[in-house]
Amino acid sequence: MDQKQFEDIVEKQNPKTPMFTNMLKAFLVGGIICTIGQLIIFFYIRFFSFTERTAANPTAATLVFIAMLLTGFGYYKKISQFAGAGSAVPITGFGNSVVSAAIEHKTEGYVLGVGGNMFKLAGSVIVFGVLSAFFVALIKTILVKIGVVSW
Amino acid sequence: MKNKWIVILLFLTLGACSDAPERVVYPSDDLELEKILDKQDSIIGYKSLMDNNTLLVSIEIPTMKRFSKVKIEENIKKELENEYPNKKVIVIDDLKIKWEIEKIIEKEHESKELTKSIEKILALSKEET
Amino acid sequence: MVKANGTIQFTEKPSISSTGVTVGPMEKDSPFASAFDEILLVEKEKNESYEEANTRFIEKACAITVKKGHEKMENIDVFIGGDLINQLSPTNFAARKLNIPYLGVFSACASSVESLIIGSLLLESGKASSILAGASSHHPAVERQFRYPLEYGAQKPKTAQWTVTAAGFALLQKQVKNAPIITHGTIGRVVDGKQTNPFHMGAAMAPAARDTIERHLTNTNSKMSDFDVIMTGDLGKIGLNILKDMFTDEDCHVILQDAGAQFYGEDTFFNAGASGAGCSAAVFLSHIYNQLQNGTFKRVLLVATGALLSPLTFQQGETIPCIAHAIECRMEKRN
Repeated sequence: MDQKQFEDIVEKQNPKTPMFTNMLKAFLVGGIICTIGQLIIFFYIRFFSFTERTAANPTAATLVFIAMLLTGFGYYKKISQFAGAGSAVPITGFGNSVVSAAIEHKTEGYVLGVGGNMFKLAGSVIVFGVLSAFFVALIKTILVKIGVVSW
Repeated sequence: MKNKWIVILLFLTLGACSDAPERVVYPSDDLELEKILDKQDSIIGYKSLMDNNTLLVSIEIPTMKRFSKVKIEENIKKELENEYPNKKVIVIDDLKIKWEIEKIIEKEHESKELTKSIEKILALSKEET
Repeated sequence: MVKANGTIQFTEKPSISSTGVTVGPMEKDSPFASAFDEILLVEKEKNESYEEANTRFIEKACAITVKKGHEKMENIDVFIGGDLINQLSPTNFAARKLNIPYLGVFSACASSVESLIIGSLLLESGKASSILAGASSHHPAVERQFRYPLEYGAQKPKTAQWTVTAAGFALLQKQVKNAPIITHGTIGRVVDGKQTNPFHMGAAMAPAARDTIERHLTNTNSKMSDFDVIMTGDLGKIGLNILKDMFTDEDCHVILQDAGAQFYGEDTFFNAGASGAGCSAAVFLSHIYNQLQNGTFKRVLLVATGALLSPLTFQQGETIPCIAHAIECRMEKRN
């Protein structure tokens, strides 16, 4: 049996990924998370002195806090198994990756364990988030200077 | 049967309800201002406050035009500045400012208190981050 | 006597005189649950790390094995064991407490059968008379080392397998009455099916399992239908189907079975089934051992499959090389 035949068998036996259902689930759960975020924004605008522009920050913090609770009680991975990208892409997914790593490495102590490993998964999000933000800002600055778009 | 529920759910989740946008000027004796704001076709609603030295307008921009929000705000601001050269003009699209203006209109402040509340809103709108 | 290509025939009748299997809380709903010796209801005690818990599972399984074999711990000559954690720490720490001469072995999930082969060889050589051999795995400890943190929300595909929390150990002694004997052992070759998906170990391990089974059948001049069952360790449901497709033999559909595919029954929560060194060790040394002892099975081939993957080489773009070790067990007629 050569490699080609083997790969054919693997291909045949692999279960099909239900792309459409996965996308629909991701859309629904991601949409629900974002709706909750919008409600929190309204809450902060209505009852605190935040404007539309400044309310985003406490909202992000609140969502991360909720994600932290869900992760700690073990519900977040269940949501993720259902939703996939729908729960990984919003900021709650970022919170989950930080908190899960922190819980995991508690046995190695607070400094080298929790502190050192907390951003094991989220680190790349931060690095590439900052990097892409820099490049997007650079492109926009250039476009504005040329006069194609305005701020 | 299951499909029907999905369709109903989608209607419920994707649909939205909204009030007709309001157009209010306070104090309401300035017809000139109302005229200028009414002829702006890039906004669907506005609420404005005016005292002796400040003109504060909160505008409502349709969702799809929000990408050029800053531009629209600036255009209207320029037009109003031409009309009221000795007043400080602020044009802003922000839910918080709109709600604050609504609150003030409801309370029907006297001119002195009005100035005070306008200052408070200005401080809010200046907040960064 | 070594036959061609790694099949060893044991003539001194090394036999499995007793076994001990401890499993964790997730495994209590397994169809094999009644065969397990002890089900511990928590993955770890308070103030205990998962690695320490793994050590405790091993110690408990060893104690049960020795007790059931009516032996004393100090009479055991050699302790052979393996697990999936870096540097075999849990087994090392268990060996520290057991205080028996110790050999640590690693071939990922195939460690269970590897330790049994080495144990049989030691008996065969006549330099030892009682040997404790087996393997273990611990779900949370393995998960954090090979994949993501436990609570991290990553969607698992249908091909993913669940590492079991289990430890299975066997007491090997020469010529014990009414105990299954190990007649042959086939040492596996590292086979690489050029698979790269760490969430689809079944596909990666199937070629290794096929290679070992085929060599064993050729070297022992037997065919599939000679066996009551040929049980692979942890290919999972999809991996088992791949393995069946790789054989042209008609009998393979009945005789080929997989411990990982059956371990959690039909529960879809576990996707393709179970995996881990503890999976093959637990099933081989509880369910299969019992069937051999009460005479349901006369001759079985146990093939433990292991994916020799490390998170490091996987990220460096290496494929997943795999290995499979096999032992043939027979039950002789009671006399």
